[in-house]
Amino acid sequence: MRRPIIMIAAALLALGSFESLLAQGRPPSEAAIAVSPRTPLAFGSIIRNGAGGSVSVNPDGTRSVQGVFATAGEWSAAIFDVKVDGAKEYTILLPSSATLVNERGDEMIVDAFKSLPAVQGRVRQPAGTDELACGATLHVAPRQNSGTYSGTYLVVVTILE
Amino acid sequence: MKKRVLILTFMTVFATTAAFAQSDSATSSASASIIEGISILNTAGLQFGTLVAGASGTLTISAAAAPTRGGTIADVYGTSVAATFTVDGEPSRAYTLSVTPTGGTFPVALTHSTDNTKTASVTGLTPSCTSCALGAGGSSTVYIGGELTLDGSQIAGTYTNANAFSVTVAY
Repeated sequence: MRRPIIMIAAALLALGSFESLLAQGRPPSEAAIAVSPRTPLAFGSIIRNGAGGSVSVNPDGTRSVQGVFATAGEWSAAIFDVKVDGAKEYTILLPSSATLVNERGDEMIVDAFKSLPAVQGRVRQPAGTDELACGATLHVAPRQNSGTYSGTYLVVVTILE
Repeated sequence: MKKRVLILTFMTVFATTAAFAQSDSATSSASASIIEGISILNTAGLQFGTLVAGASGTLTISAAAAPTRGGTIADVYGTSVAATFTVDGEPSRAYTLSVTPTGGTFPVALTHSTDNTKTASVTGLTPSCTSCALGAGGSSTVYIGGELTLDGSQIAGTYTNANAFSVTVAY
């Protein structure tokens, strides 16, 4: 009568350690979802003036300005590649704001992040890669100091169960 | 009986390990440039010089700080000056420059100071650059030369046009 219990306990112990190994050491290619940046978000060259204003780059790649002029070209929406192992839906979490800083420490705020797909994406079957585009609005202060401003932001994708 | 219990436990453990790596994040960069606006200021007008009344033909002035003269009229006296403009903006940035005669086409008439029936014609304008660049300090000087045409009807005097042409610069 004792033997069966010992055998079951031993089996459970062995399986338990196997599970924790899997949780720590799974290679990225086997992850359920993965997102990587392909193209950065760029607002272009904006001419400083006394009033200030804003520049919006949209996920579809268009740009609009308010209160300021921007030169042609040099802007782009951000593009991310989302890979999912199988046909699944996922949600997208965008930051509420980001800060761009120039060489002298002057700052500009970026907010109103938008993505395409908007909140929830579906990876096309049978291929496992989706394109996630991201845009936002840059706020330019009156007499914003000249310079090249840059910063980073985080995007999170989560599979919907 | 023992075997069955063992198999069940095995399956349960694998089911619970399926729920990981369900989320991922990526950091990306954002950038923008803020630059000075471009502006232009006229600092000297185009001066062809002094010619002899009754002469006919053309006189050209090159677009340079010390312009050279050309054309068919040989007797030219005095100083010839190319029009001079200061352009200010973002250091080292490229810009385009265009010159437009008043009214959109040539000739542009220069009128005698007391007899407005007498005119001389500006028949060409030449900028020192059309694809230009601001210097490292954010400034650049441009020159506009031109061509004057006389038909022999011009009497002695001073011929001017205060608004003969405009110059436009843009990034």
